[in-house]
Amino acid sequence: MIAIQFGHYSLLASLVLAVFGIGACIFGALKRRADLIAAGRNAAVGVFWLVSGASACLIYLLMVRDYRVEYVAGHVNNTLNGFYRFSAFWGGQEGSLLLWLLLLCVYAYVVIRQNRDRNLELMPYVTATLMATALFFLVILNFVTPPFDTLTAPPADGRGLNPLLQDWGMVIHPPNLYLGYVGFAVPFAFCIGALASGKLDTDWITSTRRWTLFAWFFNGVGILLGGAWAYKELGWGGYWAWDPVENASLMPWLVGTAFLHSVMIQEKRGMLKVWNVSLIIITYALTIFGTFLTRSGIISSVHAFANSSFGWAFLVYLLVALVISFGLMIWRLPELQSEHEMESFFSREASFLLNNVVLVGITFAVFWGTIFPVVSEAVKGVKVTVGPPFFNQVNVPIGLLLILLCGAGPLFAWRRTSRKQMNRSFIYPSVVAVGALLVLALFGVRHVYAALAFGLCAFVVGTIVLEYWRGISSRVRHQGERIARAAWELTMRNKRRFGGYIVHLGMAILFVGVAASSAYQEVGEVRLRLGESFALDGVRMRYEGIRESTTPQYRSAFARLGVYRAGFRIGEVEPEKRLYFTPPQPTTEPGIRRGARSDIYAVFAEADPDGTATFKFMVNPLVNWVWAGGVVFTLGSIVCFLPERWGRRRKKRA
Amino acid sequence: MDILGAVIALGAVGAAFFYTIWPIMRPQTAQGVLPDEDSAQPLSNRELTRLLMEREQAYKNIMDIEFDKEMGKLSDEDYAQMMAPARAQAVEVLRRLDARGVKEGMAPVQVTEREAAQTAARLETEHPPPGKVAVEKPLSLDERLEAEILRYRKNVGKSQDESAVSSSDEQMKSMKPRFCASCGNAVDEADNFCSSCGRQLS
Repeated sequence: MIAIQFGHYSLLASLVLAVFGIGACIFGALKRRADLIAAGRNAAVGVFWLVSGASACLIYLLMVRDYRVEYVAGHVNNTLNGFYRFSAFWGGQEGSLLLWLLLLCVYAYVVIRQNRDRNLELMPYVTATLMATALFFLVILNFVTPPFDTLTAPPADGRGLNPLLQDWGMVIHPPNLYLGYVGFAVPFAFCIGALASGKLDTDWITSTRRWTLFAWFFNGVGILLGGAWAYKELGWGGYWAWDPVENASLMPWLVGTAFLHSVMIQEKRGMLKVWNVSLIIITYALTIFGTFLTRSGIISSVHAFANSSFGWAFLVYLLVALVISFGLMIWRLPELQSEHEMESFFSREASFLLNNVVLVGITFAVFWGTIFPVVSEAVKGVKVTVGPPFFNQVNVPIGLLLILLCGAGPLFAWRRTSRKQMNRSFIYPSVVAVGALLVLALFGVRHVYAALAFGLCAFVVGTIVLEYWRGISSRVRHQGERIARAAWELTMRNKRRFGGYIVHLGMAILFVGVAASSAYQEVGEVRLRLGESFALDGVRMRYEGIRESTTPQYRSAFARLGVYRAGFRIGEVEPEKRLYFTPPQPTTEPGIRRGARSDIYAVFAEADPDGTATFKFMVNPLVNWVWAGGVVFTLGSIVCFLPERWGRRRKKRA
Repeated sequence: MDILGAVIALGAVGAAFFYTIWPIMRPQTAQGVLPDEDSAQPLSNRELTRLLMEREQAYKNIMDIEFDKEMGKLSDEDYAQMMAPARAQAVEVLRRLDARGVKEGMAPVQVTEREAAQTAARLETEHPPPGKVAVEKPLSLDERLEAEILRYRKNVGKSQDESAVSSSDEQMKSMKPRFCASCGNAVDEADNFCSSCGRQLS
């Protein structure tokens, strides 16, 4: 009971403190009162401690299965192990909103500690902005979906966690994505701080560069983990379905990517100030919109784990945030003029700008496709479903342009590049791309989009190799280093640039996987008797037996399938069909034989009493390249994130 | 049990509230005024800060052009064309800093705006007599630029991302192109006179 009361009162007190903090910070900044600003800052720290306490209470209540609490009774049961009981913290509505708030408060706390004697003009507004976001979640957690509500008659056993969420990928995917979502609040808060205080130089950008990178990285990894989970758990053989909630996580990442690129232009050339402010405001708005989509249930989705009717609150908050942010921006417009003009279309600046336009274009297409069902229902009364064909049709060509830019951008110099120099730079990657296309044509690749994607990815790889080769040869020439040392030094001395190239390389690998697995996926559905087999894309699968097992949570049936290629047995897969006891729900666990060339993916659809069984088979070519690309993306992001002095050879003094 | 829970919760909440209002209650900071970063700074300091930041930007531009050249993205003509105004801009900033009595070595190279403001404030208050910090044989502005960019590169080598490829100062000096101090034209290491304006090179 102590934990319940503590959690309840902590959230209530946090709400009061947040309101006070916002008022004290803004009033203190306007009146230049250090004591009020310090009080506002302390209020934010107080909110951090209280929300942390409340979160600890909820986790404790879940771990000890205190069924008096409605949330606990609804999301764990007696058979659920400790790992999933812990993850039930974000398995439902109230808990996941509390996690959002907790992360926000942790970030606010870290930002306050980091800036104790820096950015003094900005900090009151930064704290107020972060607390305003926290206030919104506190209002919901106190008055709409309180996590510490109790039941008058506690049940003997809880309802348990949704079986689909009982997977390690699902345990780490939501916090991962939230780390990213919430992280974007920090650069947004600094942007608002810069607008409100009038300190519009690049300080707000340089102070939050790592935060932006951090948020963007976790957002990206969260998306990939979500894809990996869908592939492994949902049993439809894919990893991306343009589901509204998937789109909701992709949109802030896309705009965040645009922001990461365009801030470099502001840092270097003092241009695109209004654009950068707009991008970070939109990114923040999209993270709130994403949370709204996931939590409101307004659009049907595979993520309908938590539906509620408080969507209006999100929309109101979103509207208020947008009006205030863009209002501040318009107020400061005269001070946000560019310091320089774009000198040439053939420059790094221009290629970054084009990449921005493309990224925002994709975001707009995704946004429109995502909200269209709601718009059509509101306008015509008919809920039109917008499926993958729309998204693919619109986004694949734009996506190809994006890959091209990914390869071309690094080849331009800042300010301008002469035609002769451009020819020299472009010739090698272009030869690589054309060579790759010829080889693919020889091997019978006729799918236009896929071939283009492969060719462009080869172009990107060609560019990166060329950049490395130029840098390494320069170091070898001037420093007398060996190639491996030169590559290391080059990367460590230019982390932002070469870390970025590694991220580009990861994206190229990922796109190859996406193109191959979507263009060349083979699917077959068949009913087999014991001993019968089915061939698909050169792979034969033989139904060899069935076995059953029971765990405390579920009963399952495994079908054993032998996998043969060219007459040789290369292994077996065991797709599984589960029936969970609480809540009673069937799930399918596909049997996957992973390989560098292709994945063999089998789904056990049903077993009939006559001894036959229905299977769905898929051969997904190069799907593992998607995950491999994700690993390279992670490495590149880590390089960008490393402290600037890390990893460099110390100079020897003579 | 209920009462104990309420007491603990109220204790925590009370502590948080007390912590929050403490800065207002505390006598030292009561009615305290925010230390002003900009408006409290004297006008001359602000001017100096701006000059230091301009110098920072000018050096960064030079480094960027050099890196692009090193990576084969700029032809010799493009390089010379872009470098001349970039260096002229840097020389101009140095000239203005000189006019304010800020000689080589008095203000650190590679600064953030905050550091620039602090340096500006220090320089304004200290006002060391000229000549005390000046080197024995006064350097021309262009030579100073060379020296400062070397120092900058050294600093960047420690902390900035997009630094030039080289790490050793001596090697940098030997591979770095020279420029005419008069017209900014790129000249060879062995040249004694500028091929463009004819001025004797130092």
